[in-house]
Amino acid sequence: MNVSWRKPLRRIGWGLLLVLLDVRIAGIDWLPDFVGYMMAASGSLRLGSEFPAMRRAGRLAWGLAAVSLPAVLMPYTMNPTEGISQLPLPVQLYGQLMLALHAVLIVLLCTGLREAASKAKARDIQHQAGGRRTFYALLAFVLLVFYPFQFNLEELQWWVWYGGGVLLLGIAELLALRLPFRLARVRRHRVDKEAPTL
Amino acid sequence: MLGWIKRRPWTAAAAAVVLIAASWTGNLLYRGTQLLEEPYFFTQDQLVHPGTNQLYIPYLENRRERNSVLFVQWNERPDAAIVLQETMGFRYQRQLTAYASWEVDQEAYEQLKEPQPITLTVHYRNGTIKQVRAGTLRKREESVLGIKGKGGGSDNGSVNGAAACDCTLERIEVVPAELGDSIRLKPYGFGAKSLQPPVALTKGETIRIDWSFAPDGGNSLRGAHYYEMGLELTFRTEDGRIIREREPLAFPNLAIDENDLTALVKQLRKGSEPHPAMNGGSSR
Repeated sequence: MNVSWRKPLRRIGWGLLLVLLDVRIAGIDWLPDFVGYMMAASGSLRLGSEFPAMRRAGRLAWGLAAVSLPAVLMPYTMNPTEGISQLPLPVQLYGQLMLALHAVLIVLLCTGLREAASKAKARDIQHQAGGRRTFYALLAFVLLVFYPFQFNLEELQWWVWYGGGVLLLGIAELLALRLPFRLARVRRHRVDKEAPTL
Repeated sequence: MLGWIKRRPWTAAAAAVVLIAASWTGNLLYRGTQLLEEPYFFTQDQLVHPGTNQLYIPYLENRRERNSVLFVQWNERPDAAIVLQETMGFRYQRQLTAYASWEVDQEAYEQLKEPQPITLTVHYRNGTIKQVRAGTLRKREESVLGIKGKGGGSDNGSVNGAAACDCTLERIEVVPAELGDSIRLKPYGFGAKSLQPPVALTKGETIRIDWSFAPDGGNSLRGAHYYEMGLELTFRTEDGRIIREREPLAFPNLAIDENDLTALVKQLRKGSEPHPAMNGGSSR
């Protein structure tokens, strides 16, 4: 693997991990998503010259960094007794648009990682990137289709299904986020393995 | 399937977008068909007696209602402060109650001309004001059947009492009369024996009337009359007087049965009032 890939790959991983984490104090997100997206965009564009999917992911990550700016100050003051359906419709549409774009970003990154793993001859990572991409994309699609059913299903019934789906999606995302870190360590592993034989 | 998606990723992406958009459109359109066009006030008979009286006017409004009811004034008693409180939340609507407490002294009670309509001035959040008829005030009548107990829920219950004098129970009817087919009655006499009017009662003799909603008994009509539903008992006293007593079935602030609510909303959306003469809808 090209050593110059390491930093951008790690930047992608840390950036997206930052997006996953939400620390809200007094209604303000102190780990704003746009910083994470900017890190992911910077990392992806560095690899974009070699892998077209990474170039597309980088551009999309810049777009997401811009679109996620309002979320920093967006108050999450949902009244649990009133339910999520009581949030203003534009806020809900914005949240779903962000989820859809984020899912596309993960799919593009997994595609890019697959190409990179193929080039680095890391077959296991190459296969896992494909499988995790499919799993993540299907799960995100099901959640996006299911979300509007909150307008008509019983609140608790909807929450159980949607909450379960979100949990699975989080796990799927963490699994996908392991890949850039693993790919960044490929060469070092090889070196480690080869060291005793020298 | 996965092979097809891999071969045609852009077609698959377009199909996914169409399905997500269809889910939003379908769900929002369906939700729209389940909403009230404006808050709906139920009518009811309010029995007045000397002393402290309480008024409960239940009404429905959509859960995501932008133009919700802000406050309500009682036209006949502008001095009575009305408080709005939520009784129950449903999937699409929430039920609230306009509540007031007021004093009636003996002189005012005697001067009360009944039946007196209850009319409300309803102020909406967007500034509009509407007049709403919300029922009738009636004096508590002379009682032949002293009520000993009442109980039940939103779809069944029982009333029991004892005769205050020797009399004949001539009839037991459901009021309003249109609801006769939608409520089943089972009257019982002393020793839980089935009772069939006309029947002679001696002073102190107890009767019990069990009631339940008929499963197919016109839910929309019942929904509209939820807080007016009652029993009318007709007695003939020993001196030949005919006395009719009304006993409400539902509690004034009881949450409406969800099936009846759904049927009522559907009927209101069709534009045909469930019961034109008694309906508590807004006058414009």
